[in-house]
Amino acid sequence: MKTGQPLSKSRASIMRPLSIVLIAASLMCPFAAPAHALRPNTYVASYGADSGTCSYTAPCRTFAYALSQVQAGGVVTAIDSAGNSPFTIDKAVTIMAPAGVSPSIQAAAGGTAITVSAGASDVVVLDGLTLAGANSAKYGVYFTSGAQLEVTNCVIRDFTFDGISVFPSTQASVLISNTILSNNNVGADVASINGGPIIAAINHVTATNNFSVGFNIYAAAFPVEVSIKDSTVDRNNDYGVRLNGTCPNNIATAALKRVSLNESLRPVDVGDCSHVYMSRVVQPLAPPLQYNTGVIFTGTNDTHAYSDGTNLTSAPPNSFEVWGKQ
Amino acid sequence: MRPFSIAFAAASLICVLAAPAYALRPNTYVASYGADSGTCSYTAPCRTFTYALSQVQGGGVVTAIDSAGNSPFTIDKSVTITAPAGVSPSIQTPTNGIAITISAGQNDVVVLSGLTLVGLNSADGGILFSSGMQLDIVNCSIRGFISFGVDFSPFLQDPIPTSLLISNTIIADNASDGIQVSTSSVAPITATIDNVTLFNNSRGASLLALQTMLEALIKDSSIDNNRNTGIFVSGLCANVASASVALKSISLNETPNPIQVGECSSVYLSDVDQALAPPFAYNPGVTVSGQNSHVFSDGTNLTSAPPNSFQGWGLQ
Repeated sequence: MKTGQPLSKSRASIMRPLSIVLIAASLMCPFAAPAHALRPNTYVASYGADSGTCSYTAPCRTFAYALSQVQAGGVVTAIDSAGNSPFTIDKAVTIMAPAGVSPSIQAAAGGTAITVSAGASDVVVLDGLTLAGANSAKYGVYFTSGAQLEVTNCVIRDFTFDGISVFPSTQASVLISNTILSNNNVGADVASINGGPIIAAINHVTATNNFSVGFNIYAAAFPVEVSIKDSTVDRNNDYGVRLNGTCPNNIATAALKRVSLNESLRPVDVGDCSHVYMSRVVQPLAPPLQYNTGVIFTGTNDTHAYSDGTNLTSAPPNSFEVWGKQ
Repeated sequence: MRPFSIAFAAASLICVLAAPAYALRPNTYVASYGADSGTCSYTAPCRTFTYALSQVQGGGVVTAIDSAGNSPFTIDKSVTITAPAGVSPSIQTPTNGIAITISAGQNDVVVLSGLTLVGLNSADGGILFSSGMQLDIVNCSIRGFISFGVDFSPFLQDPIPTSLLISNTIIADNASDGIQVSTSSVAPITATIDNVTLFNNSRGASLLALQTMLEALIKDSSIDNNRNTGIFVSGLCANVASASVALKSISLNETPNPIQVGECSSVYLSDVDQALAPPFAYNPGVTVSGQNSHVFSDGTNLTSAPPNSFQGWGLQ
């Protein structure tokens, strides 16, 4: 389906200028200063209209309009599962769909479903959303600035670049939990291009069938530290978890705990200035499929993999044996 | 934006209404289209949790029918407040207010299920438990308070044990403690925290034995990216108040001080992970600052702290 895509796609996305996104964000600002007071809670529904204050009894139709009517730090809630349009978030807010409600954000070909371009101290929460890229949209969540991005209970599929892009122009902390990232080019791409270091906590995430990489961790201009636990990172075509740092100071670090890395060509790939810590990581393989075993050191400088001796592989000679460098 | 005093005045007015001539119901309901009159049946629901609470029997259930926002409320009896999956009523809390206050009798059991509490970075606290026998918080989300997500500090006259359960809940982005549990009176506390995410709070959890003993278990939980401290445990030796805390299968990643232990405390660790990476200024492992405290480990706890390795930590 995506076999024609180059492996360097995620890197190409890194090089994209952020200015277009910023211009788009500033265009939205005129809507953000209504005459009436903003509400702590606003709502969207299939039967809503984009006018008024988006109360529960008179909801709006689009997340974009409901965002313009909510207070900073407030909550925009979907009442039903009607599809919605892409939107940009420029302040602290929670966008949530409770269990049983699943509004699908329909991104245009080449577009982005949700762009987060918030202030340096803003916390943005995305909860319960379904993002479908239809194998034509580029990004599910594109985070360009903000203090904190939390993605919980979401399903993000079929984007031609990244399910979640974390390329902040600010120091940032990220939580991804109880979320599925599947059939994208890259499941989640975390890169410190500019702004500051990034720390990310990933738990109970399924990142499978991504064409290029499950989790791509790139300490470009600042250190990046990612913990991945209780997660399934299977059947990603090229890489399960891929780390690259920029020597000597910008180290990419990943700590893996109770993670499966099944059926990926390169389960863990360690580039320059990259450190990986592993405990209870499992990797079943079976011939005749041509898979590599364990950790692959692509980098030549300051590459480390540490194991506590509880990681298992079924690689030949057939056994369930310990892997990972001590 | 409403002054808190108006909310109190409204609450006290409702107290007058809370002694109806007709019998209280085992189940009452709230909905966006409800009105605060009558008995809050499913077919004629009320609007606010406050009024629906006045119409429910002790030990009954108040259920939200839809996701309409609601006002802060106080619970003074045994009751379950629940929003089923698919419904997410947000409790809107004014500046410096508390979303849910529990001031119940010494044998009362209170259950909160499926609620979304948002502090807008201006309200004080999410859930304040000042009296009662038991509080269960399940399937809730508690964010953006300037003081605490949950404060379980009952003040009771008799030394009857009280207990706290928090499960399947996320408590994040609070400017002080995610969870604070303390024995502020003669009543000892047992707390169970299971499958909880404590994220980006100033401190994930404070577990304090101040007047008598406190015992807590935290298991299968993620306590990551808290800005200062993951877990703070302390007793108070002068009051012969000891804190005993067991941690099983939890992570304390990306937090400057993962576990801090004060005085008269015992902390038990098993399968506790702590990922650290320079140049972030983190302290590995457990920091013990007080007298008569002990930390026990079964050797399954891991840290990535320098010198580089994935090594055992915790004191034996």
